[in-house]
Parts: sequence; C-alpha cells; structure tokens
Amino acid sequence: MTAAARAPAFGRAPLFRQETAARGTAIVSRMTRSPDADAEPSDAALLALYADGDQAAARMLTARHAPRVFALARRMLGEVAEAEDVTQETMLRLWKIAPDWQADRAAVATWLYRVASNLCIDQLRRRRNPTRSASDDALPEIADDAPGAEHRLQADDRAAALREALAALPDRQRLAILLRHFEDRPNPEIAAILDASVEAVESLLARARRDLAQRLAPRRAELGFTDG
Amino acid sequence: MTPHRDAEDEAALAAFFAAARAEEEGPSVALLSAILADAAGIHADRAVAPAARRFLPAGSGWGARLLAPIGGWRGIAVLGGCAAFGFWLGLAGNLSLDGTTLTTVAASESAVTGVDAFFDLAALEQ
Repeated sequence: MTAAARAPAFGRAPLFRQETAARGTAIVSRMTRSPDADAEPSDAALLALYADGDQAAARMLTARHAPRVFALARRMLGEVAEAEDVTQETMLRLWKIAPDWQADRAAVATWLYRVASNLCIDQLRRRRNPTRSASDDALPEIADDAPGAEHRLQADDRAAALREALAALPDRQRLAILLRHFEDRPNPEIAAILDASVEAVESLLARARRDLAQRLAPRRAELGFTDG
Repeated sequence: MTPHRDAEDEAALAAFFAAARAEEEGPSVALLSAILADAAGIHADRAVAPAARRFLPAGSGWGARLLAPIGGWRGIAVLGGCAAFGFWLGLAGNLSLDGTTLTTVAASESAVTGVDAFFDLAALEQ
C-alpha cells in the first residue's frame, strides 16, 4: 500500500495524502541515515524542535516510537491494516499536541502508548466479534528443508498458539500483558497508560498470565515442550 | 493469586513470549511515509493559519504608535462605523422602535447602504 493510498478509517480526512508518496519515500530514506549518535535529544526536546518546524525531529520521533506503537496495535488488534490506522492516528495526535506539550506532565512514550491503547480498545469495541484472532495476517508457511526450519516452525506454532490465547483475554488484560511482556514497560508506567493503580495492574497481569498458562497447558506436548 | 503461582505461570509462558517476540514485524515504509507526511502537513497548516488571520501590518510605524491609544486601526474602523451610523441616523429622519428592531420610517437606498456599511465595519472587529 503506497503512502498515497494510506487513509486511516477513523472518519477523519487524511492530510496531503495524494502528494506524499514520493516525498514520503525520500523522507524515510533520509530518516534511515544514522544521525549523530553522540547527541541523542530527549523526546520532549525533539517534540519542541518539531513544533518549531524541524522535520528532522519528526523523523527521529517516528523512528523511535512508531515501531513500538505499531507492534502494540498489531498484537492488540490482530490485523495489520487496523494496526496501521491506529499507529498513524496516534502519531498524528502527537504532531497536533506538540506546541502544547508539557515535558513535566508525562513521558512521550507513555502518552503514545496510552493513546494507542485507547484507540485499540475503541476499535475492538466497534467490532462485532471481539475475540477474533489474526486471520489473513498469519505468518507465511516456511516451505524449505534447510537446517533450523523445524525449529522455526515450532517457534511459529508457539507464537500462533499464544496469539490465539491472547485474543481470548479481556481487552485490558491483553493490553497489560502486551505492555509488560512485549513492550517491557514497568508496572508503574503500565498503570499510567491504563489509568489504573499499580496494584490493579499487578492483579491484571497475574490473572492474565494464569489464564494464558491454563489455555496453553494442554498444548505444551504438541508444541515441543518436554516438561518433567 | 500467590506470587509463587504467578512466577510459575510466567515461567511457563516465557518460551511462548520469546517465540512471539521473534516474529515481530515492523511498520511498512508506506506507513512511516504517511506518518511523516502528516507531521509535515500539520506544521504547514499551523504556518499558514496565523498569516491568513493577520490583516493588519506589524505595529511598528509612527501611524500605529499614533493610533495605539484608541485601539489602533481597528479602533479607527469602529469609530468610522459609528460615525457612518450616526450620519445615517441624521439622514434617515424619524425612527421608531418596534419590539427589538430599530426601523426607519423613511427607508432609502442610502440608509440601507449605511446600515450595510455599519455591519461590514463591525465584522472587521472579529
């Protein structure tokens, strides 16, 4: 899908969609050139620079945070297209709030996770079947006999089994698991993202892990676990 | 839920989490391009909007300093509107107040033009 065709389905008219495909590609290629590694400005500093018109700051913020937002949304929603919409909308809200950003109010990453989490939950509520698992986004089959292929197949099966189990969790439990075990956020930050207490987050995580372990236990043998 | 039980669950799930993390795919180039295009677009919108609203020159000249006590050029515009309205009242002759509407007894094209001009000048305040 080209940048020109990228139009998030949130009832908002996309900005500059038709004229950005070529320019966007050039922007991304410049973004991948490594900046001065000795001077890594903070997220708040980059946001202030962007608000003053520095597009390089926007590239750095995008490189830092868009992959994590996308990863969270992808796992929450189980669909690439919806995850892309959430990611784009989340970053758009960051660009809009940049002039008013207060560095002492919250970390940019925490704020982004919170926005993305809320968008994901809203999207899940709009669906008819909230327990729907990943369908056409399943990994392609590995069709070679190379050494290690069996190991990769086994890893793929375990990942697929976890996806199914995660999809069966309540939204907030799934979010807590993703933030803790995939995004490596500490519990206090997860509490800020979910607007909950640390104790509530710990309870969410414990219940979610118990649920996942129970769902996956019957499949451990077929998935190659040799538990004693 | 005891901490020991939770630790057991976490250990049991570790290999599953590791497998799932290994298959993670990053955002597409198209998505990243669109995000950056949004960033450029938002900034461009902000740069244009203040210029579009600005219809008065920067108040640094002698004229602006002279007019500052009465609100600058806007003050002149309002005073002019009031003067025009008063001029029109003088020309219109008898007036009557019907409910909440001020109407002229003898309507004339020049009177209507004066009212339009008044509201046009009042609109400049916004």
